[in-house]
Parts: sequence; structure tokens; C-alpha cells
Amino acid sequence: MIEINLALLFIVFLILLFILISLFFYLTVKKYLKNQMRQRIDAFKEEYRLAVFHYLQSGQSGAMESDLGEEKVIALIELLSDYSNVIVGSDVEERIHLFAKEHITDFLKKELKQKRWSLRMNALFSIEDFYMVHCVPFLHELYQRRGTSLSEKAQILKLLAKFDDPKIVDYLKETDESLSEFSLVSILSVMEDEKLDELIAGFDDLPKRMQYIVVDMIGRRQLTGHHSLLQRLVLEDETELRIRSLKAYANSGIPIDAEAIYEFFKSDNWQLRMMAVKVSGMQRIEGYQSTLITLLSDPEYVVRAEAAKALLRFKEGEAILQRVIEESKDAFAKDMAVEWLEKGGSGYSY
Amino acid sequence: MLSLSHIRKIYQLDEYEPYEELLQSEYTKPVSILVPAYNESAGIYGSIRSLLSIEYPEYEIIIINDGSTDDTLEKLMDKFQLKKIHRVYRKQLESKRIRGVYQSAIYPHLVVLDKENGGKADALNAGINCSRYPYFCSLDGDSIIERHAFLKVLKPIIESDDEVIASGGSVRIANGCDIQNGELKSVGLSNNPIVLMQVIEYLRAFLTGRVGLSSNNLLLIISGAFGVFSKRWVVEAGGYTHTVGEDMELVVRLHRYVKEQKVNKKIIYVPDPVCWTEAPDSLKYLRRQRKRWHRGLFESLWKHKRVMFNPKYGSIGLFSMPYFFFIEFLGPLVELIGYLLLIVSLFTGSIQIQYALLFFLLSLIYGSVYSMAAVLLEEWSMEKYPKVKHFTTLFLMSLTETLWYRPLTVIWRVEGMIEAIFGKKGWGEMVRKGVSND
Repeated sequence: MIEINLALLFIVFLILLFILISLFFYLTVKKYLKNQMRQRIDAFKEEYRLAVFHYLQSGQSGAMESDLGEEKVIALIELLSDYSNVIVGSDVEERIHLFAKEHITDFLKKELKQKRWSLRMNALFSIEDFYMVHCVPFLHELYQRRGTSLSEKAQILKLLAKFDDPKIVDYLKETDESLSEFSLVSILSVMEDEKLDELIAGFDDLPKRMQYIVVDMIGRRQLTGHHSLLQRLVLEDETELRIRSLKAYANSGIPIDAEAIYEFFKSDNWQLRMMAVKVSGMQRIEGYQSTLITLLSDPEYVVRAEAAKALLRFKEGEAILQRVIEESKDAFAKDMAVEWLEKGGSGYSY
Repeated sequence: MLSLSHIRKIYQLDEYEPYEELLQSEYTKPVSILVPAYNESAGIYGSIRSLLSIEYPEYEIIIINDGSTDDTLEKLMDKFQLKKIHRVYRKQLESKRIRGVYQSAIYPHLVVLDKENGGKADALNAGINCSRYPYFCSLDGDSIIERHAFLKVLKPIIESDDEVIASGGSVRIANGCDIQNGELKSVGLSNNPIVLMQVIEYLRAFLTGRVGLSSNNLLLIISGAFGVFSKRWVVEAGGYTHTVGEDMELVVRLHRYVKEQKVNKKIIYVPDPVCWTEAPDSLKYLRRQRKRWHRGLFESLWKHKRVMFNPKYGSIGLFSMPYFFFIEFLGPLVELIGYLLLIVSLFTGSIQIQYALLFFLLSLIYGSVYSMAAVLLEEWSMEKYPKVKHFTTLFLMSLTETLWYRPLTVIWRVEGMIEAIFGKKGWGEMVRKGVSND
């Protein structure tokens, strides 16, 4: 019995060994060929480098064959993406776009249909880098295809937002719940103002998460036109919305009704206290100076730090902190004042 | 199989594009990098230099001088022009007394904590107290990290909207690579067979085990050399404790804490190699390291023995912990007994010579098959080693593993097991040569 089993096992292992060794040979050959191909691509890159640079600078295209082999196309893509990172300017963008449209559209179209995720992703990144607006129809197609992964969808939405596609707002309204906050932020940050306004117009019907990000966006992009929305949201019952709209006030510099934040200083929620402190610092609300001094002794570390930072934004901030160091009986407040005075306005802030 | 599908997915993905967004976004989470240093005078400058050149929008570097007895602090003072500052820190975790906080005049985001000696875990806890950012990373003084390391490791954290509370990147061996001024110039291989075997070992552990375990949230180890943690969760779980393998212990504790709190949080692992570390290149130090690792494994498992087979902890209790206990911890003992039995029975003649040979061949093939597969897998999915020669060397080396390397590690691990049970403490020193070529 044992005899048979051992022999059998032995055979199984031998087969395995055989498979592994064949795989090894296969991969060795593949690696060799790939390295060769890489060398050829690098050679093409050197060959084209000057011509492409010249074209991007002057707009005069040399005698570039129109029907290029795959290796040449890859060389061109790499060259273009090197240049697109270093040369800026709208004519250059336009030239990159035209060049890419002519030479690499077919290649990318094929790549977008690849089975492997990484290749499709790379193609999507190229579309972004080379401003390939004419690829939008393929993007819609890929977006609606079943089995398209979340990261592809996020990248497509970002591209559509960037290219100001009319469908973007609809897509966003019905987006997948699982799209991360980070992706939504990157999509919304590249959206044109009008499209964003369109999205904000339907604010109350948006999913919660999208609402939060929209509020953040109002602050980051300083959309002063949506002042009244912020005003309403600060008074809303939901804490998260309150915190975010206070943050939007702090970031955007939209003037806030000072009385509206008074009660937040006494809130049990430290994030609310911190945001209120931040807003009063950013907007230098004189009336709250003494409140800020009291908050240097707040039980929460972050609030104390924010209070010191806020005080420093006032003209007489340094003098106030100096006084705290001399007069205060609270060791926490003193420590915080010492630390921030030392940092001063050096911009080294956390 | 689990690991296969995941890593092949990212094969040939552009090196930089996916992370460009993170670099520019305000939403990228800032990170505090903690570097505990105890008598690391030789290598510390190189590794800090490598940290200063990383690409990440917002980070601070906190070096914790854990009461070094050599000139580590003086060297830092001199090279980075440190000056003493007043910095308020929150004592959220217990640690030994801090003697002073310094900040570099050249790099404002470089801070040095000088404290009384208390061990690595204690140093890390002090670093956490002093850190400002919501995420931190602990880094050994002797590792070199790639410029995009943080982008790669933090990407899943950022994109998951904080559902991921810890993320580890894979570690590779730096010996043989060209490193200048703390930056990895080109990947290479050492000629030393001991180092080569370790390269293969890392490939095996990282490419198969951990990726597979990570996709099911079963990951127990975030390698000591590179992992990013959410500060809040680590603080809540109690920070580092003084054990031999404090990283592993922390990861187990985080898993346990998350399960006990009944929240949906994940610990994940990124297969991309992002950190290069110096491997011991002589049998003497390798033996110490292995014994230490095995003790660390034991301590972590022992401390959390209540998790084992406890259905309350889900797959961690029912799968990961038993796996680490039976396969990783007890495995070497079983193997050693096997080897011994084989030899003994050969001499007593209770087994026929043909069987013995057959058995030997079997175990030979079995042991090497796995390693060979790992080498092939690396080539198939990552292609970190550029030359055809690298690939063939690794493959041929992996064939020999069972003949010499495996038995050696088995013996060391059993030694470690004995020490763990009879209670030897401490680290055993390793002389650092420094990996930088400058």
C-alpha cells in the first residue's frame, strides 16, 4: 500500500517539477525577448526624441510615418508622457493632443479592450495625460460595460469631468456607493464650475456622502456663490454637515455670521469646537479673542493647538500668547503658547 | 491561488501614474515616520537621507534616540543642525522619560526625540506620543525605502475612506543592490548564497502567503521593516508592548481589538516591494535572527492564545492563528523529527535504503518546488530583477534549498522554540554595516 502511494507521490512531484522547469524555460525566453524589445523601444525613443521635441516646440511635424508598429507607438507614448510632465502651456497641450490623436488612438482603443486590468488602467492614464477628448465615446462604452472595475470607473468619471462631458452630472448622481470619498473628491475638483453648480442645485437629493464632499468642495474652490447653502447647513441638526460647513467657511473665507458659531464653542463635540476655533482664527473675529484664550485650556489637545494657532493670526496674537505664558495658571495652556510662539509664523504648522 | 489573481492584476501597471493624483491632492493623509535608533551611528545618516527624498505631500520624520551609548545623537546633531525646541506632546501611551526634543534647522519636518533607553517598543510609543499626524509608519534604521513607497502603501488607506487601518508593503533584501546616498539606484543580487537564499525566502513569504492572507483580511504580520498604521487605532489598542516581535504582536492585537469592537476595519498588504533592508550575510547572525523571530512568533501567539480556535474572532481565530501555530511555529519541530528519524532508521536498518532514498528525493523536490514556484511567480508578476541572469540564478538556487538551507533554518527555529519556552529574553546584537555604498 505504502509502496504504491510513495511511488505515486513521487510521480506527481516529478510532473510538478517538470511543469516548473518548463515554465522556467518559458519565462526565461520571455524575459530575454522582453529585454530585447525594451532595448529596441529605448532605441526608438532616442531616435524620435528630438523630432518629437521639435514638433512640440514649433508645431511643425516632420516626416513621421502614419502607420507605426506597436513598439514605435509605445516609444512615442513614453516620450510624450515624459514631455507632458515637463512642458506646459496650452499650445503644447494642443500639439500633444493632436499628435496623440493621430498616432496612438488606435493603440489605446485596443488597450481599453484588453482583458488585463493594468493595461486598461494605463490606457486611461494616457488618455488623461494627452487630453484625448475624442476618446470620450470609448469611455462611455467602457463605463457602461459590465465588469468594469471601480477604479476604472473612478478614472473614467474623472476624465469625463475634466473633458466637461454633459453626462457627468447624471453619472455622479447615480454613482456607486462604494466609490471612495477620495475618488469623488478628485472627480469633483476637476469639474467645471457650471457642472458643479448643476450638481449643487440638487443638493438635498444627493446621497449623504456626496453632500459632504460637495460642501468640502465649496470651501476648497471658494465658491462664494453658494454662501446661502452654507448658512443653512451650519444650522442643520446633523453634526457632520455642521462640521464640514464650518470647515468650508474656514477654507473659503466666505464671511460667517459670528453669532452662529457662538454655541459651538460650548459643544460637547470637540471637532465642532475645533472648527469653530479655526473659523474664528481664519476670519479674525475680534469678539472671540477671549474665548480663544479660554480654549487654550480645552481638555482636547487638538482644540488647544488650534486655539493657539488661531490667536497667532490676530495682529496682537504674539502678545496675547506671551501674556498667557506669564499669567496663566494652566500648564497645558502655557505649554501650547510656548510651542506656538516658538513656531511663530514660520509656516511650520501641522 | 488567491494571491495569484491579485498580483497578476497589477503586472505592468504604470509605476507612477496611479499615484500622481495622491501627490497633488489635499486629501492625502499626512504621515509621521518613526525611526527608533539604538546605537545606529553607522547607518542612520543614509537611511534618514533616503527618507528625506521620498515623494509624499506631507510628512514628518521622528527619530527616536533610545538612549544610545554611541555617538548616534551627536552625529544627528551635527549632520542635520539640530536645535532644541519646546514641543508639547500628548502622553497617550506610556514610555520612558523624554530628555529633549530637537528640530533640524535644515529640514523643518525632521524631529529628533532623545529619551532614556527602554527598548524598541518603548521608543516607538514615545514616537507615537510626539507625532502629529493621523498615520504613522515605523521604520528600522537600516532600511532604504523607495521614493514612492508611501504613496503605494497609503493609497489603499486613502481610497478606502479609513476602512483600512494598517497597510504593509513588501520588503526585499538590499544586499547586492546599488544604493547611493540612501537611494536605490538599481536592483541587483548578491553573490553570497546565504543572502540569495534569503531573497528567495522573502519572495516566497511575500508573494504567496501574505497576499493571499491579506485579501481575506487574514493577515497577521506586517513586516517589521515597513508598515503604516492608523494612530488612533493603535493608541486605542494600547500601542506597542515590549516583546521580541513587537510588530507582529501589534498586528495580532489590532486584529483582536477590531473584532472585539465589532467594527469593519481591515489590515492589508501591498505586494509591491517598497522597502529594501539589510539581510545578515553570515551564518552566525542569520542564526540569531531566526532564533529571535521564532521567539517573537511564540510570544505573540502565547499572548493572544485566547484568540486561537475562538469563533468570536472569525477567520483570524479559526484559520490564521492555527496556521501560524501549527505550520509556522510547530512545523520545524516536526520536520526536525522527520530528518532525525530518517537518519536513525538508516543506521538501524529498520528502513530499506531504497525507501530512504525515495523519501529523501521526495522531500527534496517538495521543499524546493514551493520556492521555485515563488521565483517563477515573481518573474511572472513583478519583474523586479532586471537581468535574465538574476532570474536564472534565483531559480537554480531555489533548487538547492532543501539540501542545505532548509535544514539549517529548521534547526535554528527549533533552538528558538526551546529558548522561547525556557524564557530567554533580549535581541542578540547584529552588527550593522550600513547598506549605503557611499
